[in-house]
Amino acid sequence: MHNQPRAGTPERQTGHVIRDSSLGLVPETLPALIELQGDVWHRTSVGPALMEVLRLRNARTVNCVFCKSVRYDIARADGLTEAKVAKIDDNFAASDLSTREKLALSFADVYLRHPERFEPGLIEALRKEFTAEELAHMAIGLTTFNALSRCAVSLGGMPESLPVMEMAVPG
Amino acid sequence: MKTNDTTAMTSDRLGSLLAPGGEMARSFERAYASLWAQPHLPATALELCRLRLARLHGATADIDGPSRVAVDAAKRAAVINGSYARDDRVSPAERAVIEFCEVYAMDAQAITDELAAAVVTHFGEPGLVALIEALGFIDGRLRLARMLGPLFEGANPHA
Repeated sequence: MHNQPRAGTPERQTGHVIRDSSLGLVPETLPALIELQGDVWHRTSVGPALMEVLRLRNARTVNCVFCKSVRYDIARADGLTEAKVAKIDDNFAASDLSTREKLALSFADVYLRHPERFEPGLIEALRKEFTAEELAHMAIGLTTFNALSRCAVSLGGMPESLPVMEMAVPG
Repeated sequence: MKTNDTTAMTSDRLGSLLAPGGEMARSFERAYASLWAQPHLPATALELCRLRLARLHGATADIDGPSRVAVDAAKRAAVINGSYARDDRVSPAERAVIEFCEVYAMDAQAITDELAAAVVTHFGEPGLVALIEALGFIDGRLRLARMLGPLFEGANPHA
C-alpha cells in the first residue's frame, strides 16, 4: 500500500470532505462531481441500501481502504446492516442475500471484471427484476463509485486499514 | 427499452442508453463534460488516453468511431497500436500521461511515484488530479458501452 500522497490539497480548507481533498485542486470539475455524487444517493430508484451494496462490492474489488471503511448513513437508515455487508464477498451467490441483491452484485462483477462477457441468462434475469431506470441508476452509481475509488488509490496516501465509520453523503 | 444501434455503442453515445436514469443521467453527462473542459490537462491528451483504453478494452466501436477531440492521425495510430513510447510524434508530456493511463488501466494499485511524478512535471499536481479523475470516467464509460448495448436491447416488461 502506498503511503505518501502524490498530490497536495487546497490551501484554503472549507470543511467539505471532497473540496478539501486533492480533488479540490481542480475546482472546475468539483461542482459537477459533487452534484453527481449527490444525485447517485438522493435520486436512486433502487434505494440507498442497494447502492451501498454496489459501492462496497466495488470498494473490495478495487481494495480502496477509505471506501471499504465508510458506511453512508442513508444506506443504514434504508436497512443496510453489517451482517449483510459481511456477505458481499466472493461467495455472495451462496449467501442468503435476496435475489435482487445477488443480481445487483452479479451486475457489478460484470462491470468490474469482464464487461465484454455478459451472460445472456444474467441479462434476462436483470431485465426481469429491474426497470430501465433502475438499471441506468445502478450503472451510473457503479461507474461513479469505481472512478472515485480508483482516484483515491491512484492519489496515494492510503493507510493500511481504517475502522468502519458512518458518514453522511457529502452535499 | 429498445434504443438506437446498440451493437456499435460507443462511450460518447452512452447518453441515449442511460436516458431512463433521468436527472441522475444528466448529472453523469455534465460531470463527464467537465472533465474534458478543465484547463489543467489538454483534451488532446485525454483523447489519446481514451483511445489507449479503448484498445485495452477491445472496444473497436470507440476506436473506429469519431474522435471526441481531433488528434494527429499518426499519433493516434501510434497510441492505438502501442508504439507511442518510441514514436517522436508523441511528445514527452503525452507519453507521461499515456504511460500513467496504461498502468491505471491494469491496476491502480500498481501506479508508481515515478509515473505520477512524470505527469506532475509536465502538468502540475492539478493536471495529475484531472487525469486521474478523467481516467475513471473514460474507463467506466468504455465498460458500460460494452455492457449496456446487450442489456438494453429488446423490450423490458418494466420499462
